[in-house]
Amino acid sequence: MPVLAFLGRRLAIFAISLVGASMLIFAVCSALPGEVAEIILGEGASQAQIEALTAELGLDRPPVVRYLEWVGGMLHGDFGVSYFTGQSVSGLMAPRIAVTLWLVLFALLLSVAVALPVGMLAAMKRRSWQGFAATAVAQLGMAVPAFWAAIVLVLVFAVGLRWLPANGYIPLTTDPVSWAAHLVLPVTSLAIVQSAVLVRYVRSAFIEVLSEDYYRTARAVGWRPFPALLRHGLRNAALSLVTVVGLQLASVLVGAIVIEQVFALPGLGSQLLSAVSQRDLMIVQGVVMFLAASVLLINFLVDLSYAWIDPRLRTEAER
Amino acid sequence: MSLLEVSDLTVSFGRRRRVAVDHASFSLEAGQRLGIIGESGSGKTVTALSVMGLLPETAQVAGSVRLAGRELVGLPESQHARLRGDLVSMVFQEPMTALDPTMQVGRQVAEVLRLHAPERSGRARQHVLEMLGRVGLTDAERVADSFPHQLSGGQRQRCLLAMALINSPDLVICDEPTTALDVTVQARVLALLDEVLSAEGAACLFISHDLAVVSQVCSDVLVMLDGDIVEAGPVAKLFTAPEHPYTRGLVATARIDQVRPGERLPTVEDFYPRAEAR
Repeated sequence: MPVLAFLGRRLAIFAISLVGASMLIFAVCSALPGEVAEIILGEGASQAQIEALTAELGLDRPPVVRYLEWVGGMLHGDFGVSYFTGQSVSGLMAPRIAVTLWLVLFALLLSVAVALPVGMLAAMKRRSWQGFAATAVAQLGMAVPAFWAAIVLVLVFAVGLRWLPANGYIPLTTDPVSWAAHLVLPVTSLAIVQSAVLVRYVRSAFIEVLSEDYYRTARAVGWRPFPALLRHGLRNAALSLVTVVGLQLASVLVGAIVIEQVFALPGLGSQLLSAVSQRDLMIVQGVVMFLAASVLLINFLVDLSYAWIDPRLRTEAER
Repeated sequence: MSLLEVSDLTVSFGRRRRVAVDHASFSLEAGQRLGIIGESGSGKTVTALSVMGLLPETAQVAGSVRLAGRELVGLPESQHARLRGDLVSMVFQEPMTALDPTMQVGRQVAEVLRLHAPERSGRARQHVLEMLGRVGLTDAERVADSFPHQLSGGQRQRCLLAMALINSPDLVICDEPTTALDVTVQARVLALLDEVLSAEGAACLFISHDLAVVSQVCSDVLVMLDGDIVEAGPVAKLFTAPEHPYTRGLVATARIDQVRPGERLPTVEDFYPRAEAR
């Protein structure tokens, strides 16, 4: 079964990447200069105090042991404890995951929802002013930094028009309407750049479809251009586009860190930033590992979606 | 009234107005089979695409193309689309890539039915299987549920033929439909085409660069050269008494069986030396 072989291969790549990512993250965090105990105790601490705390935190043990302990814990959902507060890292992360998840999910959905029709229009009308305008707007959107878009949006819609809150976050379970209102501006500012980037990929994917023989066949049997593109182009273009969306996830996550800061959203990004500035490496390791795992998982799912989109992959066995 | 009347059709491309078809005129009666023969760039495919209304945006069309009394030049796309696949249909050269690779071919054939004859779409599956059977696909059920990559080139071309014929069009345009196929498959598809066109009573515009192939399907033929129709007439007359030197060249190259062993094979240039002429 080629499908099973395909799945097995992708699963293996996913697992190997996870292990690689965890090693890299651990190595980088361990290699950072400065003793953790020294930072916690401050400048006046004696050498004996530092050594005692280092032993207490378990940092005097060899790195391999600490790495295995960390990974072993994560397999059970235990990301270790913060060096500073002693709180469980997974416990600290849990409420923040939802915030970042909503932000990233909606930003991706919004950018796809905008980029798909605009990109298709830009492809179909590429020789007329509409297509040129769509491409030009996309070019402009790519040049806008997310944080700047955020500030402008806040000035217009929160400060000027007072339609939406300027910052903060209300959990979905507390008040769904307020939750949505608080997410509109952050999601929009994050989606602007992403959709602009995506428009270019959508455009070129559909320009390719327009030159395909099956598109010409669809036109020849009576489909008008746009329906022909939807009916027979979308699935074919999706093959290259899901890859791009999967890859974009990484940059959306990076963007989310900045946007959470601008809008004071209590997400993983703001947690990561504060942990870095406090040098709470256990939290840094945990958050980065979680983000890396999410990116790898999504890209694994993207790989799986090929088999769903492309029958040639599914049915090769019957040939 | 002829089924198809092309008069003074001129098609040019781009800003520099490169002329692809130059004041071409011909007509086609209902049920008639007309071959258009010529080399690449002679304007034969452009002529066909003007009838279909599928020319690229950069094309400028002048003159008149009337199909069943309706003027097609300048017809809005929405109205032209309604004729395509219904009154006039087209079979293209590349069966390997002309079908959507992500959709079962049965659904692709059924789609043509639904687009134009929604009243028949209730029993679409049955109609599709019937049609696939008529184009010589013996295991129609299995073919209908297959994706294009699971079929051979000949099977795919038959599926495309089924798509072109399912709404019983008055005119079927075939653009080198067998060129991409193996020679043995080619002969079978041509025989089939001949058979189904007769059964359907459809007229056919058959485009080819191969005079031998055209003579198998068509009764009449046009010879196109650099956008001009240089000769027209019944196939038999063209073979026995070609007038234009280019046509004489074509006939000679189509009859290599008459070349004596050891003799050099004839080329079109022996009769119509174009390179020197320019």
